[in-house]
Amino acid sequence: MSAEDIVRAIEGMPGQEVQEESAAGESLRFFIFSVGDAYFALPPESVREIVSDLEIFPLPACPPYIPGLINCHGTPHTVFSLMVLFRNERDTPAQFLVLNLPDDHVAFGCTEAIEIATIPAASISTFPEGDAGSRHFTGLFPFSGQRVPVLSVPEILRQLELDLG
Amino acid sequence: MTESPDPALVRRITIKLAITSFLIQAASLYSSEFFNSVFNNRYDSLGLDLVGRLPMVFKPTVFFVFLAAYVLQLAVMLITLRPMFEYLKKGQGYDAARGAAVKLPWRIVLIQTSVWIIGTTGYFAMLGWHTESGIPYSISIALKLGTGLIGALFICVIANIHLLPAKRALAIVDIRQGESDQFARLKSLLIIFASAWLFATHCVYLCFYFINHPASSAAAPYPQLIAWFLWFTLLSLGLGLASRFEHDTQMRFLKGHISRLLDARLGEGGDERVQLLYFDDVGEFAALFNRFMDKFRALIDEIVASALVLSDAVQDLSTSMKEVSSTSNMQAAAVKEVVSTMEDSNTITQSIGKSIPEVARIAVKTRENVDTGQGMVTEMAGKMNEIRKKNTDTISGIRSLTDKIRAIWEIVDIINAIVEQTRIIAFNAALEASTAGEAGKNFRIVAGEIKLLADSTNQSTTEIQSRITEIQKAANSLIVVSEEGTERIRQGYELSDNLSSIFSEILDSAEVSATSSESIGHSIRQQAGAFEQTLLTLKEISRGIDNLVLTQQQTSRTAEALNSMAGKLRSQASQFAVGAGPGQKDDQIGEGVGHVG
Repeated sequence: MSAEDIVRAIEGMPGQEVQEESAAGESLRFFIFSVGDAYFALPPESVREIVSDLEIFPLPACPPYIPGLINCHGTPHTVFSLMVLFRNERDTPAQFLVLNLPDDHVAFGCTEAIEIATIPAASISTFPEGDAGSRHFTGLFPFSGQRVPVLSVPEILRQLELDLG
Repeated sequence: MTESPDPALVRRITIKLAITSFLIQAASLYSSEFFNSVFNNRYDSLGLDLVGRLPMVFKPTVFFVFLAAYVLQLAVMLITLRPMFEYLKKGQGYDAARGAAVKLPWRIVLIQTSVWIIGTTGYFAMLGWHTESGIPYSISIALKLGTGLIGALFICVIANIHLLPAKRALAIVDIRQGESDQFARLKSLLIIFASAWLFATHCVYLCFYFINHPASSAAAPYPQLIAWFLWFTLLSLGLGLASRFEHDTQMRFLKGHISRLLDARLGEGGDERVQLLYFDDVGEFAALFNRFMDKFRALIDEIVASALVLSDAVQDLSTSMKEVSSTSNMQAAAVKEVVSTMEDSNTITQSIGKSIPEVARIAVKTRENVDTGQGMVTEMAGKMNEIRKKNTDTISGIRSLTDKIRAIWEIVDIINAIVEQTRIIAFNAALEASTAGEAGKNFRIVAGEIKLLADSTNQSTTEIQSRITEIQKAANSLIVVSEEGTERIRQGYELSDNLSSIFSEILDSAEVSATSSESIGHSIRQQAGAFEQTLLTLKEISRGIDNLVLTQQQTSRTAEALNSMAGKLRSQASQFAVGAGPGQKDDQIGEGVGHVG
């Protein structure tokens, strides 16, 4: 596909967003990514950037789900391993989701970015109370045959604070 | 010696001996006394008639002397015969029993003569050697000796007749050294002598009587003289008849034995020898006959054994001849079969001889074909080598293609990496657009399209990778197959080489076959000639075997005839009468005695 074709495609779909919103009614957008074979979701606004092929520099005296730091554009970011946090399994993340935090530099390790999807609000359910780790999620919605939990970034960061004392 | 003890026989013999000896002795004594009384000059002068002279006959002194002599004689007889009686009663002392009867006659004669001499002498001595009748002692003693001798012989003959059953019980079949019955041998002479002596002495007595006969006495007693003559004639004749009876009994016994031997069979368990009753000439003859029979039996045994051996040999010969004949027949058949086979073989050989040139021609043709085939095989081997080189080049090309595909794969990986980066960039753009809110709306659309483009590219590269994978698998398979083909080609090439070598060998063999065919043809012609010669020889052998079969059949018939003759000889030899069963002896002897009696 040439650049002209792309431009034409953009120009040929001016009402697409409107149609999506009108058809969906009340809907929300989520950035869906995979960690291993599990899908997780985050609000697109909470992710500033996706980076890959970065070396993880380990940190001493950290919880297990903190494999270390990455150097993202000269700035160190704390890497959270969601695989260790939720499944207690070590992984080697290929990509990192750099979170959009005003006063902190944090990145989640992930296997692959899947989609930025628009999810109807009616299909989003709350995470069942009482389940282990339920405080780390704000909701749950179906996607591609899976139930994708929506991560609560503040709760995850609070977990780190609690663990670090 | 096989007789069982018979005490009753002993008793019978003893009683008979006692009675007959008593009677004979009494008869001889009192006949003599009666004669002396009848022809007595003194009694004549006294005018005594015959009745008046009887008391003179039976004088008590004479009777006591007679009785004493009788007892003595009977005792001597029993003592003499004791070994025989002991054997008859107990079955013991056979050797002594055999000769007991031989001694008996002489002892009787001795006793009789002694008693008569002693009695007469005693009588004369008591009368002062002068008797009332005036007869001299010499005449009287001669007269009494004659009477005693006749009486003794009579007793001996009768005693022997009584002893015959006992002698038969002894079953004597031979004469041993020292066993010679001289009395039996001289018996006839003794009887003649005794009769003559008796007659002569009585004649002398009568002469004396008539010479001294007183004239006053009555006329000479001619009736008494005739009676006397008749009495002594009867006495001598009786003695001769008794002796003859004894002799006839012996001869009849002997003849009966020989007759039984002639009628009996050999080997039936009987005594195949005749028995002896006396150790005289007849007994000696019987003993010699027995010796002859022993030798004859041995001869018969040898003949029977020889006949058996001959029969067995002839049977073996007959069997062998039959087997040989059978074998010869089989050989004749086999030789004829061989001749027939040889004839067939000869025909086949001749046929082979005719076929050999064709075989040689075929061998030459085969050699040519093999030569051509070897050239074709060599050419095929060259082609196979070319194919192998081409296949090797093909494999090299496929490997080069695989290397290039691998390079394409690396390029696709680079494209994938670029696509992944593009996709991340698209996501980052979309995220950035989301952060920008409504202002980033179009930017988000562009980012979405870029992401779609990246996804599409990713799908294309994935498909390319799939195709490349398939191509690589196909190339690898092709390499494997090509390598296998190369191996097959190499094997084919080696086979072609081997085939070429084999063709070379076949070519050599074909040349040898062609040469050998000519040699075989030559050999076959020689073999055909030898076959014909062998065939003629075998036909001669066949005719010879036929003649041999005929000869063997003739020999077999002769052997069968010999076998039949041997069987007859054995049967006749075994049936030859040379013996009699022991159970028949007494009966037949008894019959003989009874018949004579």
